[in-house]
Parts: sequence; structure tokens; C-alpha cells
Amino acid sequence: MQSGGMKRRDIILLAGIAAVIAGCFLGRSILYREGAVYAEIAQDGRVIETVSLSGDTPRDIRIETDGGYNIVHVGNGAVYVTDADCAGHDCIKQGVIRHAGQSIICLPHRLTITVKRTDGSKDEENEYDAVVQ
Amino acid sequence: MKKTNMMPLSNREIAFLGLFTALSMILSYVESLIPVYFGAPGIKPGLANLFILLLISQRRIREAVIVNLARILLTGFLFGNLFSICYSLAGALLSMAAMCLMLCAGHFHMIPSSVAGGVIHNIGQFLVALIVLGADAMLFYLPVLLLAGALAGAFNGILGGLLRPHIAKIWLCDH
Repeated sequence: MQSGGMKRRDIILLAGIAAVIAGCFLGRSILYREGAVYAEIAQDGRVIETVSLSGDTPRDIRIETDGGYNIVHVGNGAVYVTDADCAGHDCIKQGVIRHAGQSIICLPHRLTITVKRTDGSKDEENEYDAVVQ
Repeated sequence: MKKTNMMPLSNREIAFLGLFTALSMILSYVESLIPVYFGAPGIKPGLANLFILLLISQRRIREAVIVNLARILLTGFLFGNLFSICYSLAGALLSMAAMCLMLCAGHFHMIPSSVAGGVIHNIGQFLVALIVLGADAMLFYLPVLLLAGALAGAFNGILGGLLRPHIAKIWLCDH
């Protein structure tokens, strides 16, 4: 316990922790192997904004609708609603989406956020063939 | 070591614990102002843990618990909310337990103990986020969180190693 150099088992422990972390990164790269994705924000089915999810600086986008506002957070391959002035906050509770085909729906503001894939067809049927769960 | 944890605190010790709590609170607050984004939301160096590490390394487990709980509750109510208190508690209690086991029972060096504490702190917060945000959303961040915990732990461990002789000198620890 007294100060001084690290012993062999200390080094082994550090190496073990490093190995576990490296394993997690490896596992993630296998789990999340996917093409470039973007989010399509639409109101009443009309696309009002398209944002890439692959940008490395996350940002908040404020969507104003006649019913109120939604703050959409985009970044690191994921999109979610952080704030809204609707009653139930269901859009916030729907959480984070990142895979093509997933969506967040805000009923009071008639707003949908859908993750889509840039490579491949934007055709609806093909889109759902590409869903990765 | 023979000094058991059940001894009442002296005035001097109470004053020191107050100082430690105040210092760790201000470090928590200053950290929350750092605007740099480290790859996942809310990653920060956790410098407040430095004092916890120092206390545990002096076998002051009860004191470490007091300082940590006081810091979390005070910073939580001053600058955060109930939600952020839950996150902090989950991380802090787990990492404190881990560091106690590693330092006091396992007799590991300060740096690997702090690294393990940092990693386990983030595992605790990850578990809370898992319940709140859902597995799919959070799993993506797990490796980054673990790495950040390890780096923050190493940083604190090195700092703790440098500070420990001075703290021991003024507090007359390790009798």
C-alpha cells in the first residue's frame, strides 16, 4: 500500500482493463456496421429538413411548427428529441434512434423523424428490407 | 490501520472533511462548465473523486462516504436536479466500493485502483442510462464511456499519488 512503484499484479490489472475496453470497441464496430445514415424530419408527411447523422459535432435543431417547437438533437449517428412544448412529451420518451427505418413521432405537432440510409434506394419497400435491429 | 472506523471525528478532522467537501464541490462545478465534447454526453475528468481516492488510500472509508454523499447532494441540489443526483449516486457508490476493495482489501497500487474506480463509475452511470434511455441507444456509447472512465481514473490516480504525501503530512494519517 505504501507509495512506490507498481507491482506485477498492478500491471496485469491495468492490462486486463485495457483488454476489456478494447474488446468493447471491437464488439461495437461489429454490432454497428452500417452505411451512412441521415434523418428526415417531416411535418404532415412533408419533408422539412434532412440532416446527416454522421457529422462528428452533435447539434440541436429547433423545429418550429404551428403547434409549438421540438428540439432535435443530432450527432454521432443518432437522433433524438431533447425538448418540446407538447403535453405528453412522447417524442422525448421515444428515445434515441440510429438505425435505418426507426422513427420518432410527435403526434401533437404532426412531426416525424425517420432515419434513412443514403446508400441504396430511398424506396419504401427497399428501405424496410434494410432495417437492422 | 488499527484505528477503527468507529472513532468519533476530531474537530481537526471535521474541518478537513469540510475543506475536502468544499474543494470537491467546486471541482464538480467547474468541470460541468467545460464545453469540450469527449465523444459521449457528459464525459468529464471527475476530479472530485481525487479527494475520495485520497481518503480511501488513508483507510478513511467512513470519511470518504461522508464527503462523497455531501458533495453529490449539495452539487445536485445547487446546480443539478434529482435526475443528475441519481446518475452521480450510481456512479459514485459503485466506484467508491470498488476503490475500497482494491486499495484496502486487495492492496493494489493507487493508479490501477483509480482506473478501476473510474471504469466502474461509468458502468454505474451506464446502467442508470440503460434504464432511462433504453439499451439500443446506450450500448453504442459503452466503449467510449469505459475508456473515458479509465483515462479519468488514471489521471486522478497519478494526481492522488503526487498529493498523498502532502495530505498525510498535514493530517497525520496512517498512524
